[in-house]
Amino acid sequence: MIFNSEVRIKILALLYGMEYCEFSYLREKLKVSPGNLEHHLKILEKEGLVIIKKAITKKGIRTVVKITEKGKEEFKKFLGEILNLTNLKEGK
Amino acid sequence: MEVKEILELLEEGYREEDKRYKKKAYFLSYFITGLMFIILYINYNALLIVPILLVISGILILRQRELYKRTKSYFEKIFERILEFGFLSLLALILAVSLTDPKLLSSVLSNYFGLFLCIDGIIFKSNVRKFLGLILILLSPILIFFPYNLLIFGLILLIYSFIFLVKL
Repeated sequence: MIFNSEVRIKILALLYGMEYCEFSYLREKLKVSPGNLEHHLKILEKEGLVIIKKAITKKGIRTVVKITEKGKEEFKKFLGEILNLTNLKEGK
Repeated sequence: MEVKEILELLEEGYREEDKRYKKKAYFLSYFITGLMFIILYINYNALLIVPILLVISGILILRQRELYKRTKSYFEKIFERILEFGFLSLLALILAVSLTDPKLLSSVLSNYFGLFLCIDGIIFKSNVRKFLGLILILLSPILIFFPYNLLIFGLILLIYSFIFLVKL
């Protein structure tokens, strides 16, 4: 269910090697609308795969996104499965 | 969506750096360090100004980080750890050189700054940092023979700070 969306896979792939990143960074990197990104992030947050924190700064509201340990585990599992499938397809 | 695309995103995430923030942070740290050496060259008694400048630079960089830093990657975290130990080793090195032969200070520092700049360039795939680091390393044995080596080193750091403001 979580991994049937390309945007969600991309979010987790980017966050996997990061401590944190801002909402605006993800939006620019994935080239998606703010509404669309927020929708996918809320799904990931509901499943406990990411943490979203908001803070008020001089520049306005700052939204920081972070992957959880569960998120890392789930993504690792997904990546392992997808790599296995690719190897099978290529006959390795 | 292809596996290659996912793996590329994964790698990007690991070595991502917020260049807008880093340009300002590098400019501040190199500019203030350079200024520090020039002031020390002009008047060695102005040693008291060094901690003041370090505190100012620290506050400015932290402020930039709080307000503008948009990402922190795993490699950045690792590099920060390396720098923490590096800073400790730098202090020990400065102490040792100052007590034995202070003339060697700029040469040792140039080598040290160059090495860390090269490591930075290798981790974050930046040719500018690798090249500038290499220049500092190669310059370190030559600096010993210049009479105004501390001044020259300070000026080089000032030039570097402006280069970092344009390209990192």
